[in-house]
Amino acid sequence: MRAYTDIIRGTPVLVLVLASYYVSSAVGLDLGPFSAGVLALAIFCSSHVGEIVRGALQAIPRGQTEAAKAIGLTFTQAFTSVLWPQAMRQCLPAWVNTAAEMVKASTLLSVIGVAELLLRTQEIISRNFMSLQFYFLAGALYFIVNFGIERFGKYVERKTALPS
Amino acid sequence: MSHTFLEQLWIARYVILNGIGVTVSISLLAILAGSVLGVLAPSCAL
Repeated sequence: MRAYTDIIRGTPVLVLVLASYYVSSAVGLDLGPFSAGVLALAIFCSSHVGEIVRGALQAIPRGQTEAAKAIGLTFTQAFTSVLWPQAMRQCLPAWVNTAAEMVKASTLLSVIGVAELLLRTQEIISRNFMSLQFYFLAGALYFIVNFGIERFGKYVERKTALPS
Repeated sequence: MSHTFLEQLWIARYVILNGIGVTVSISLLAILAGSVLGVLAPSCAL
């Protein structure tokens, strides 16, 4: 687990994207650009979320796990009812950051031919040469998507916050 | 004939919407799959 996280976090996203596309076709999986792109981003996201969750779980005092065991909760019950609600509150802000990173990292999928917003913008610019205006538009659209994610994260934070 | 930005934007509206759709769907799938894997892996190590 630790080695997986270290290797993936130390690898650039572009390398992961190219590897998932070309390695999958080399071993006969033949994923399309879309699936290979999702796979690469999911692997990258999982390593970051894994670290965030690990840190949040370690921050919970050991007594909580022992108390859950003492009252006879199974591992699943202890995790879902005791550990996860506490860990989730701690890892939510970092998770929102990772989600925003994924939206930004999706621009790299244009190199394997995924027709996402940046590639579409470049296609439009190649027809009308209005590069400044359309790149600004693309930037504004990425901002709107990330702003939505950030607002959603804040909403979930408010909903799951402990009453003061 | 000179095309203004708004005219070009109107012509390319479906292309841009399609691009946003692909970006959002890829991001959502990656976040969901990555989060599930990311939560399960440290939990199994407990």
